[in-house]
Amino acid sequence: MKCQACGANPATVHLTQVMDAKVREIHLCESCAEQGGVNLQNALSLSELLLKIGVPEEGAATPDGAERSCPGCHMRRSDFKKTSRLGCAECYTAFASDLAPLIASMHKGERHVGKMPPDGGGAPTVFPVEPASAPAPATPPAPVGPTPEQLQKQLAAAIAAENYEEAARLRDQIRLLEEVLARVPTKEITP
Amino acid sequence: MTVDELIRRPGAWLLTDAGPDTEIAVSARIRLARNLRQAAFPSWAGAEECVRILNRLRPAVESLPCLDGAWGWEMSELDPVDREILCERHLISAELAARNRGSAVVLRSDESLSVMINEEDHLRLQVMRPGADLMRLWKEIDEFDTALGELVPYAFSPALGYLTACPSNVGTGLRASVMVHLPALRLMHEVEPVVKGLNKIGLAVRGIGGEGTEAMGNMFQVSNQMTLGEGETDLIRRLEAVVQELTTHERNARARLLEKHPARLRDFVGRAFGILMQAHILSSQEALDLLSALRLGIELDLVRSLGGGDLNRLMQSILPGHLQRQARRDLPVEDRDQLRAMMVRERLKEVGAEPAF
Repeated sequence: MKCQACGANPATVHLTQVMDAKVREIHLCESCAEQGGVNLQNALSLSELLLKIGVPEEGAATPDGAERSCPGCHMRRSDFKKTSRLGCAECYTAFASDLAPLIASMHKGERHVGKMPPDGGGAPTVFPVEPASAPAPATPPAPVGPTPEQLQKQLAAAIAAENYEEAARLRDQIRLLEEVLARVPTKEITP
Repeated sequence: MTVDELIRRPGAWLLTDAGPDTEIAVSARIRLARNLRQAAFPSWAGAEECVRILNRLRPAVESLPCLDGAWGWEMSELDPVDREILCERHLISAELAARNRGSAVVLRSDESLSVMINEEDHLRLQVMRPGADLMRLWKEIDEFDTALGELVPYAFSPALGYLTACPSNVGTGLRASVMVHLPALRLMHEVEPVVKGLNKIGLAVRGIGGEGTEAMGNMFQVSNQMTLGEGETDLIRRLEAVVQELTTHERNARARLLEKHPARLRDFVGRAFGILMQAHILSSQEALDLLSALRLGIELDLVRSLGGGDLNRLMQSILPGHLQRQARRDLPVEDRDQLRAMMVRERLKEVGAEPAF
């Protein structure tokens, strides 16, 4: 197995984190582990570690080889890697593919549950969509169809009717939809 | 209004009269991270942009009725001791203290409600009170946040919630924490398994100074780590239940100490007394550890003529920033340690504190 950070050396350090019945694994080579300051005493350092050394480098560059950057604030991907902090709200869209695994490893869920601002977050963003190779358009846009909430209701109904086959199908559909929604930038979800 | 006027009274997180409700769960706070929709986050924005953002946000914050008559300072107005005092009172973070022009703090005069502007995020709203009534704190900050949200367009996405400079805060942007005093569990060497257990359910346990610091005076801060995927009230109920359990755990440890190791307990409290009454050099760490033993003694009726409120005031007044401001000058560490020892000796003599065994 290759190291998930550098993709070159064989992975010899294997970390597993169990949290809320979710198991997350990361495999690293010795030097990447060292660079991330892997501390076996500290079970919670996995997300920090991912922040520090980064995750697989897909979609790092635009097709012409230029480094991807945020159209809102011009932060480059490498700036984010260096500081672990984003430049503006728009960065969440620009670096969606880098952020998705990071966010998944840090949090309980991959989708917001809770309060919304009084204005509902306002209009969708005004910045132009990135070139075709950017992760957002690469993933299929969220299906214009039932929302996860609607599917949840159907699921409950299917379970109540003991239609387990249908329930399993709905469950998988909900999971897929939520995964897509979590990865896809916000503008594609707002109706 | 100057920072000096703050130091004569106890901070919002400390009760002047500690009751049974605040014995173990000393204080609680909730903070919300919020950002403006179309502006660079403070660390990425230049100084000029930070000033513009501050000039836009500060009047909005100060216009809210619940911050009527609020105090505020831009960081550049404050000297290092002022900043230290605000940190010691849990009103600003070390990160804000390190900033200058373009960053500010606004606080209600009772200090229970405060706003940091241009810290890691554009806005960090905070409420804190003694005890562990997180639901009350949530209602208070929720209202405040909604009112501010009417004036300021927040960065928000339906999928990821409130968007923050660090992805670790995205979602609710909410960090709830309760400060707990666990001397008996520490004495029984039972803190570590508790910390591990809490880590497993996604809660962080840190020493009193916040991130990466050792526990001073047996004070630990229990807080949530995750902000995405769990609603505010669910999280708060969960944390409240955990704190309740932790409190019971500590109470049981105290009962066991009293029953099975009374000599060890008296020795622990008695030694602390001996040193505090006679020492001429005291570091903050040592003083806080010993005062923690005294606090345990007060709560188990092993100490006479000293109340929890006295202790809280004393504890706050010997912190480096407060100490130096009372001395009216910057002091080198050795002088501080001597002054601290003197203040503790005098205060304990003044109230006539003594062991009750």
